[in-house]
Parts: sequence; C-alpha cells; structure tokens
Amino acid sequence: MWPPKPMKNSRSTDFSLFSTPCGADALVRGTLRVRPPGRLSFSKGAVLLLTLLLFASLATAVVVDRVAVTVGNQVITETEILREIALTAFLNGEKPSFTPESKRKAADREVEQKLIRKEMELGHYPEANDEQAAELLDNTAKNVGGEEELLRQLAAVGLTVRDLEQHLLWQLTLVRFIDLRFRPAIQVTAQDVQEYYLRGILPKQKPGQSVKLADVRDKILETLSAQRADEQLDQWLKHAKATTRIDYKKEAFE
Amino acid sequence: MVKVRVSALVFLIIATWTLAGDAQADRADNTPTSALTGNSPYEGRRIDGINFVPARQPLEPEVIKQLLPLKIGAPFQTSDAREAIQKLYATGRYEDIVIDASPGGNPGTGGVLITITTRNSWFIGRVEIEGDIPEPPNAGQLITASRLDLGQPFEKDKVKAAADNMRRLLISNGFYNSQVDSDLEYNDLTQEVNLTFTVTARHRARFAPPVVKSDGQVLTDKQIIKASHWHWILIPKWQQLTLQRVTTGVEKIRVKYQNANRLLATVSLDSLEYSSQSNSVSPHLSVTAGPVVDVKADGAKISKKRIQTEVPIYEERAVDRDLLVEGQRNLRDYFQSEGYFDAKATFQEGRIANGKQEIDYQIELGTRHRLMAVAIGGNRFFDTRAIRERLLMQPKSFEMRRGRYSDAYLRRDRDAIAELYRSNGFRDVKVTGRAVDDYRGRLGDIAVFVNIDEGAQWLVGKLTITGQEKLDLSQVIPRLSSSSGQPFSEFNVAADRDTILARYFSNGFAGVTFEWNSTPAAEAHRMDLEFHINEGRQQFVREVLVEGLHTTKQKLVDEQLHISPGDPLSPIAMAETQRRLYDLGVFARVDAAVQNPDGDEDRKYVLYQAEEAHRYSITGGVGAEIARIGGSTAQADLTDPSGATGFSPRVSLDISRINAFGIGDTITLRSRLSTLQKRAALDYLVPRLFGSRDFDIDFSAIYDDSRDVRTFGAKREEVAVQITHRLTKPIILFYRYAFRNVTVNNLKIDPLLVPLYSETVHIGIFTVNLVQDRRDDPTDAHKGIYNSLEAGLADHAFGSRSDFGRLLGRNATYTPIGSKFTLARQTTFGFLPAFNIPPNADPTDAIPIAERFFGGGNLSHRGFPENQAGPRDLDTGFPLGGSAEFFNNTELRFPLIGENVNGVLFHDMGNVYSSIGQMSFRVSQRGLNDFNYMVHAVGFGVRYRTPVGPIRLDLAYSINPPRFNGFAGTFTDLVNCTATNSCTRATQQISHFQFFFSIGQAF
Repeated sequence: MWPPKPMKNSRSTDFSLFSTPCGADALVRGTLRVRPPGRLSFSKGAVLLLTLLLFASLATAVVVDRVAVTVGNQVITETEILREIALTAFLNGEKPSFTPESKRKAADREVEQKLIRKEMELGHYPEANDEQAAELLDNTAKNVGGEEELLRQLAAVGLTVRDLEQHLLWQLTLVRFIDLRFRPAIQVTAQDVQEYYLRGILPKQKPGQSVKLADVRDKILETLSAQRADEQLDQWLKHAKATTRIDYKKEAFE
Repeated sequence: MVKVRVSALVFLIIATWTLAGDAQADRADNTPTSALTGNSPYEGRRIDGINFVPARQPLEPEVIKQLLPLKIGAPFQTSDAREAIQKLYATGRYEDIVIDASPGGNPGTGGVLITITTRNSWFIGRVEIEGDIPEPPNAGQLITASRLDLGQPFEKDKVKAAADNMRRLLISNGFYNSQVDSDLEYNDLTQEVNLTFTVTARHRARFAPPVVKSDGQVLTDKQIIKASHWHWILIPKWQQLTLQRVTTGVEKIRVKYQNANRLLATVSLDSLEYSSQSNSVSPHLSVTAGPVVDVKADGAKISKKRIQTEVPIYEERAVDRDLLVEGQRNLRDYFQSEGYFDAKATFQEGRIANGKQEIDYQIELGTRHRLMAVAIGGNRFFDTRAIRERLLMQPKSFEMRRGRYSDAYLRRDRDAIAELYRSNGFRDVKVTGRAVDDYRGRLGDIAVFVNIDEGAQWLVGKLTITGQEKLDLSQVIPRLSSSSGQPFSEFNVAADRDTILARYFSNGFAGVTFEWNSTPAAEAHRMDLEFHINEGRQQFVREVLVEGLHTTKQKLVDEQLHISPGDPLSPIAMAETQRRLYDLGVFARVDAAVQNPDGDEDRKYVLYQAEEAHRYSITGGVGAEIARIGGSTAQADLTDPSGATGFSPRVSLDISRINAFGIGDTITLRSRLSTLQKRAALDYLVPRLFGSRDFDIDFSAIYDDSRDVRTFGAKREEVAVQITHRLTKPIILFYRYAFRNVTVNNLKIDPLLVPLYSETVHIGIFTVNLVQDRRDDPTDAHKGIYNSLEAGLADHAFGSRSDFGRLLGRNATYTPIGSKFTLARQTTFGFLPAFNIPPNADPTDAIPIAERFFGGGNLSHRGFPENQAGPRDLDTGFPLGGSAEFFNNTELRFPLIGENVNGVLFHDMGNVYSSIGQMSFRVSQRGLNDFNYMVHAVGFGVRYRTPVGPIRLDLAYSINPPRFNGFAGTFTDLVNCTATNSCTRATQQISHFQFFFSIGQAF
C-alpha cells in the first residue's frame, strides 16, 4: 500500500511545484523509457551506452530524508538519527557506526529527547542558555586542538559546529530539566546516607585508610540524589513511552 | 583507435558509476556523509522543481507553499528537507513522508528535482452500531465502550480493541455468545474512517445458583442468595443477567450486612462462571461479615439516628480514619448549631475484639449559648447588609433559635469580609472580631463585634494591553473591571483575564496566553497594570461535517449550524451548534469534535456525529381520580347535585412520531379514557417556524367527550392552530385560533332551558395568551413568579355563532421565608363579556354553557368539589357556570418529615359569579338563590416529593359553603312538576369538608 494509491474523488488538491519539462514520475521511479536501439555502429553504440549509463546514474533518485520515528505528533527524521550517531561518536572520540542496531539506539535517544522536550514545553521548563553551551563548545575545541581542528574533524563526519552546539545545549537542558522536574521530590534520609556509607564506602576503604561519614556525607547525598533522579527520570520516560504512540519506520532502519 | 575508445569508455563508465554510487551512498552502505549536512551530492544545488506523490494532497496548495522551507530556485539544503518533513508531519495529515532528490530536468544546469512522497493519515469518523441489540447495553453505551473518539487519529489496531471492548460490555450484560463484526469505510475527501460495528447479540444468559463462600455469620448462604434478588420472587426462574443486576445484587447483599451493623462486611464477586450448555452464569461470591461496628457518643444526649446521619461511615459503608474525623467535625457542628458553641468532639477507635469494634465519640458540650447579635462596625464602602449576606454566623431567629456561632465560623467570616474588601481594591483591610459572652448580663448569651478597618482603596492608574495584534479587543476593553479608575484587585484581574481569554478562544486562538503585572503608579494608592497577551495562532474552520443522518434532512441540520467554513474555530460556537442540534429533539446523541485536534494546521474540520433518536415513542398511563366527583351521570338522576365521593379510573396512551418527514416535525396522538372523559387529540408540531427558534406552530384536531361538570355532558370536536412565540426565556406568547362544535347532552337543569342549552354551538375563537414564568421549579416552586394573561374573542368573523370575549388573568408568587418555608399565593381573575346580544335576551345565556367558567376543586378553590363553584340551576341545584370568576389561594409550605414530606397550610377564597357586576367580597349568602359571594376555605395538606412532582393530599374546611335548592325526584318528575308548577325543592348544601388527592402542587 506504500506509496499510497491516488485517492478517488479526492477533494485534496493536485499539487506540484515541478517547473522543469522533464517527466517527474519517471525520474522518481528511477527509470527512463527510451526507444529500443536498432543496429548501431560501435562508436554510436559506445556513445549511446555512455549516455545511457550517465543518465541512468543521474536519474537515480536518492532519499535525502524520511520519517524514521513518529512520537505522538512529532517526528524524527533519518538524518536526525544519523546526526545523533555522528555527534555521540564524535564526543566519545569513536568512529561512528551506522548499523541498524546503532541507528535504533540513537533513535531511542531521540525519542526520549522528544518526550522530554514535549514535557518541557507543557510545563514551561526553561532551556539552558546559549552561553553555557558556548562554554562547553570552547572546552571541546580546546580538547581537540583548537577551533580549526574542531571544524575539520566535524566536517569529516558531516557535522557542523551548530550541530555540536545544539547537542551540547540539549545536554545542559536535560540536566536542568532533571534538577527542576525530579530533584525537588527526592528525599534522602540520614539512614539512606548511613546505609550507603556502610555498604558503598567502608568496604572499599583501603587498609589503614579511615573515611569518616561526616567527610563524605555531602558527596553521598549528591550521589544518592543523582541516582534517584535518574531512576525517577527512567520511570517517567517509561510511562511517557507507554502513553505516547511511537512508531519506528522499518525502512529507516534497514 | 579502438583501444582508445574502449579505454575512454571504461573510464567514463567508472566515472559514471562513481557518481551514481555517491548519490546512493546513504542506501548502499552505512556511511552517513551524504545524508548529513554539506556532504549530500545535491547539497547547495538549485531546486528545479518540487513534486508531490501522490499529486493530490490533503493540505491546500497555499498551506503547503507556506509550510515548505524548500523553494524552487533556492539552493537545496538537507536541513530544509528535514524541516519540511517535520512541518508536514506536524500538521497531523500525514503518516509517512519521504523526500527524494534527483538531478533536475535541465541537464547541465546542475539543478535538483525534489520529490516528496507522502502517505496520508486517517481520522475516526462516524461510529455506528447495527444489529438487533436487546438493551442493555444500548447503542450509545456500546459506542462509548469502543473508545473510538470522533476526530482522533485512526489506527487499525484500534478497531480490534474497540470490538473487544464492546464484546466485554455485551458479555457483562449476559451476551456470552455475542459477536461483533466491523466494517470500515474510508472517506478520501476528509481522511475519515467511518466504522460500522454489526452486533449479533444472541440469547442473554440467566443467573444460575451462586456459589457462596461465607463465614456463616449474620446471613446463611441461602439468605445471601435471596438478598441478591437474582432469582425471581414467587417464580421458579432465575433473572436474566445484566451488569446492573450483578452490581445491584452484590450491593443488596452488602446492605443486608450493613443493616446488621456490619459496616466492614466485604462482599466480593470473585467470578462469573458461564455454562454454555445452559447459557447461564453462576456468580461466585466471597462474603465476610466482619465485626459489629458500634458507634456511641458519650457526654451528650444524641439519638442513634442522628449519629447515623452525622457520622458518614454509615453513608459510605466503610470505616476509616478520614470518615471518623469527618464524623467528629459533623457532631461538633451539630451541637454548635444547637447552641453549644464551645462543643468539642473527639473519638476513640477501639480494636476489634470478639467480633466487635467500638467507636466512641466523646462530646464536651460546654455551656449552651445564644448568639444574640452580630454587630459590624467600621464599614463605609459596603453597607452592613451586603456584609451580613456573606456571614456564616447567624444571630438567633425564628428558624435558628439559638443562632449559629463558633470560633471557626468567626474566623471564616473575618476572612470572607477581608476577601470582599480586597477584591474591591482595599489591599490593606484589617478585620477583627471578638465575641462577648454573657452579653448584657444574661448567662449564655453571646454577641459578636466585628470591626473593619478598611484602609485606603487602591485604584487602577493606567491599564496597558500589549500583544493584541490579530484580534480587535475594542468591544471587550470597556467591559474590563480593571480599567483606569476602577478598584485594583487580583480578583478583578482574574475576571478580566477570563473575559479576554474567552474573547480569544471564541475567535479560534486556542493557544492564547495571558500575563499581567502591576507597578505602583506615581499617584498614591494607584497601581498601573499591564496585560500582556500572547495570541498564538488563529485557527479556522475548514469545513463542517455532520455524520449520522439517515432520515433527517440535511437542510434541517444546516439551519442549526452556528459555525461555517472560514469562521474562527470557536469552541463556543461549536458547543452552540451542538446544543441546537440537541434542541431539535430528533437526536439521541450529538458528539462534536475537531478532527486532528493535535495537528499543527490552521484550518480544521469540525465534526458532528449525530445519532438519530427512535422515531416512535409510546407512553401509556394508568391512574385514577378520587374526589367528590361521584354521583350518577344519567340525566334522569337528579340526586347529588354537589357530587359524591367518587372514583374514576383512567388510562391514557400517547403515540409520538418525531422527526416526521425528516424535517424535525412531530406528530402526536394523545388519547385518554376515563369514566369522566373520552378524549383523543392529534397534534402536528412544526418547531422553529420561519427558521426561527423563537416560533413554533402547532396544528391540532381534538375529539372530547367529557362529564367533568356534573350538570351536563359535552362533546367537543375542535380544530386549532397555535403559534408559540418565545419573547424571552421566561416570557412566551401564544396565538391560538380554535374552531369547535360543542354538543351538550344530559342537561340537569330547568327543562324549559334544555332546548336552548342543548343546541350544538359553533365557536370560533382567537386568543392571545402571554405567560411569564420565573419559577425555580414549575412542578414544585419555592421562589419566583408566574403570570399569565389570556385575551380571547369569539366572533362571527371567526366563524363563531356566539359573540363573546374572554379575559383570564393569573398572578402567582412564591416567596421563601428563611431557608425552609415558602409563602405561595395565587390570584385568578376571569371575565366573559358577551356582545351582540339579541334584544331581551339574558346576557348570561348568550354564552354557551360549555364555554362558561366552572370553578372549584383542587386547582382553584378547595372549598368546593370539582367544578361546583358559582351559580346553580334554581330547579335542580346543578352548577351552571358563570361569566366571571375570582379566586385567591394562599399557602404556607413547610417541611414536615425529612426532606421528602412537606406540609401545607392553605386558605382559598373566591367563587364563580354570574356576571362581573355581581362580583362581591361579601362572605354571607343572602339566600338559596344567591351564589355571588365569596366562599372561604382553610385546610391542611401533605406533599410527598417524587421526581414527577409532589403527590398531594389536601383536606379543606369550607367556612361558608353555599346552600341551594335541589330537586327530590327524577328528571321526568321535574318535567311534570315544572309543567304544573308543583315542584318540590329540597335544600342542600355543599359539604364543609372536602378532600383532594392528586399529583402536583395546587399552583
């Protein structure tokens, strides 16, 4: 059923912004009907073959982008997923992998991003500001050996500085969202801290070393808070995914 | 040469494949470069054309042009393609979108051709149920169970889920062998999927003997089963299973336990075991009686019944701490309302021991008080009355003998007064209150003194409204409460916000937001205000689609549409249309929705899904009248002119056909048969005459054979046409023309007059009736007024053989006295002026007897039996009717027992008079031939409230009932003695005592 058949009696409007005299349908299907050749000389045949091959190659339409995942009334395109893979790999200092599995993982991250963005929009949560992202960008540039090197490395994997900046901005925004959305409801009791100290710190203590609870209390508090915020986020995402219609288009993951 | 050519060819082939390979990079391998920015082979190339597949798109071309960031002639950017997909998808009109790029149509220019291939999405349209379904469940319940919401995105898996949900509902109603099939109809025009579910219900299962697991306390298994009422009483058969019967059965068992103080009893339905062989269902129940819950109150005298009223565990049938705390509060409030203003209540929840749980409420009453006065001082802006209206504290009064006071009430009233002031700009108001005990030296008397320090009133300095760009607010601004110079308060700002937002919503700005801030103005006690509006996008109606019309004509529906294509998408206008469609009275259900509600598009389809109501309705009734309506109706029998206690059974049958011819008209046949009346009426009602909701027209033909006046029987054949004109909601004007033939028979009057009165009369009468009804409840009014004024003219010009006028006015008022009493009164005045009277003729006789006023009875004057007021035949004593009437009724209505039984003390006065000139307020009868005086009656009545109006029993004592001459003998005797002038009269009198039993208040 895909692509869909033209609708009968459709009130929808015939629509084409095509302005060149070429047959668009033929181009889209990737074929060009030509008259079967008759007897030809070698040279003519060679030229014709050449021309045919040239046209065949040029006439082949390529998918420049497509719907990959739908999240409610939002959409994630295939290029967004590829960009996510490239950015993540770049930041991790790895070579990007565009296998169906890694595409799927990247799509999952994008889905979560869409859900969180929707929640932020509904709850009027603030986004991180550009200045903070710029600071992170500067740090990244320093790490790779300067701005020019950064540009070069990004271009090598088909990315722009703007892509990276947006990615960093999102990460900052996510941290802020977690702080505002989940942290206020998290309670860490003295007993929780004590338990963590006994089970998580003391067993790892080296012989002769004496780590006092008072010295690590704030750190434990922060660790436990962060853990629980993450748990809360995971629970919320699970619920959000269950209540949102999410559809992965298999063509985008082949 | 050949070698070169071959080499060149190979090179070119390789080069060509390389190009093609680049172009297909994103599909052929796992490298992303072509798809990401900058590396696409078409990145930056000029767009030669943009083509859509399929060519017909659900969005209009202008909308697409506006949406697409890809433009012909502009360089192609991958990011634009991505944005195009996002924007198109966000409209909700697409399920899938793919954008292809290929070389442009003009080789050599390096252009690119963009092809956008789309797949449309679908939305839920009409949902209908077909098949013969014995209710319950009805079609509406099945549609609701399907959870297919009009206008929402359609997904195929929803169909199965809907069918499963319907099946579940059918099974829960005993249709275990039911089947639900679905049929989908796709409407390309509107992207709607219309769903028809065909339900094959088959036989409904019956209950089978339940399996009970119980602890055997309180009720035996047999008693439990009996309590469920799942088995017929006296009939050896189990009832058919319905969801309602299952739930009420379980509830009835629970009530049995609760009545035995087992409030914690649990009755759970574990399962319903179906037997396909017998098509029966055996409920499996688990019952535990739980402990006896005993609630006591110590420290104060209080009845068990009052405890049950105040402690909600009995009502909620559960025992938990929240309910017990609420009971504690209620008991405290109860005692405080009884004058123990310091009353306190606490409780102790005992542990369950020996199958018993005790709950002890400890009441500390303190001294009994009376709130003598609530004095309010310091108020200048509001008068004391306006403040008192808002107080919970009440000084002692007739209704509240000890008044109402507590510290909590005082606090709440202080807050209420402060809030009143603050909402009017008195931001610095301070309200203090103090209670003085033993007021004026009397032990237990309390007075409360409330002092108000108003402070300065803050006013709005300057009001600035920003952000209004697309909508003209000039009509709204003058109505804002926070305009310059008005009191400044957050309450007023909130009201203004609602006003402004309502204006935006009704103009299709669904996403509008409102923010405000205030800054002190230069002038003292003034505040400058700024309202900032973020309008958002305005949405419009693309088209209005009404589904579900089978017999109803589209034109009828179109006339009710309050919203048209191109209009702003207003929820208010949508709701108004929905209301209008309901008001047609031809639809059982009308759902309204916006198609694709979450889609980011400016022009939306508005959907109405109508379900036509059953066209025929049949109403039957059986009843009886018991009153002084008895006595022989035979002409020969002249005994009992004032009637005797009688019983008149009655049956009625009405058949209505609504939506006749699909144009919303109604045809009704009403029939009534009783010993006093045979009546059939055929009505044809055309609502919304001239397309206006204010006008209806009704054509009727009536046949009536009545004997409600004891003097004669009357056969009436009438045709009438009536226009109803609703001037305002409470004021209605009726224009009516009626032509009738009335034949009078069995006259029990002076034989000499019989030929005159027996003539068949033709009456053509035109009447105008103005009715103003402002009663709170027409069946049982407690406040409001009711006025009616009817003016009629029967004239030769209207085909009448008798010429007379008719004027009938009625005024009723209903005045609440306190919160429980109502003083109701009604005055009725009527006058029938005759004209074109033949010379030497009696003006009274000019009016046919059947057209005269007859009064008395349960609706006019309870000192008389039905239609026994007014002038009487001097020979037989039977009522003759009159040409004028005056009645006045006064009632004091009050609660008697609980909320449903009320009492009435009444006084009726008035009479029917022979002429307007004879009208008199005189209370004594001057002789046996004098009926033109005022008859008074007092009495007592009881009303039992029901959903159709109160059932009424009235007992009346007539203080000065009329005496009159009757005739001792038969009509033949009367004829003979009249001829010889030797008739013997027998003095009779209307009984002092009358009773009436009926439905509805007297007025």
